[in-house]
Amino acid sequence: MDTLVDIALVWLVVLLGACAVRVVSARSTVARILALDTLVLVLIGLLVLYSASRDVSYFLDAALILALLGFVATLAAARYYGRGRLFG
Amino acid sequence: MGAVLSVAAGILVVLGLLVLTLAVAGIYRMPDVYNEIQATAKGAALGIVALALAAMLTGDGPIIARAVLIAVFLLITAPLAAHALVRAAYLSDEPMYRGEGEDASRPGGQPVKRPHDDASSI
Repeated sequence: MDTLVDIALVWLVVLLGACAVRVVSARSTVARILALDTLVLVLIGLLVLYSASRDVSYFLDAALILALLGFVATLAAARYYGRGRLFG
Repeated sequence: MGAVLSVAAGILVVLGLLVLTLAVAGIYRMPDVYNEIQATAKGAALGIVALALAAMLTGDGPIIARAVLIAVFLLITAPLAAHALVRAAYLSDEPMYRGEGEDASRPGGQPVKRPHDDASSI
């Protein structure tokens, strides 16, 4: 079980790197926002798995805040890019 | 009981990793932005829900509470974020993938004409 969790953590870091590469090399702005959103989601998964494997709940607080911030940031960036303004 | 829970947690971790990997692969392999969004919007949220379920199997009270919050929040907000992204892509005239080669089910091999086909394509 411990070996599996260690391999899983390394693999999630690899996925994080893949998302970061895509943020830089994206073809368009929407693809870039999407890659950033996915990067935040993979980071949440990393924190959840790390927290469960170490039996402490502090990292899950960070994951929850990251989920809130990531959603609001994606929504704000998408609305601003699509319509040119945030509200209305 | 402990061994069963451990095996179930391992299976959930592998499942979550597989789905997250498919989501990230979708960013790289899909032909246009709309396909990328529909691949990752489902994959990333469901992969994290599987990881959160694995975290719930630890049986620790604070971890269970926060994992449930994260899973429910992601299941609610992932479709909203995906909708906002697709709307932004459509309003900013992102090109749509129209397929390659001939359409074998049409007599002349021509692709089906659809309402937005006069827009630019990849």
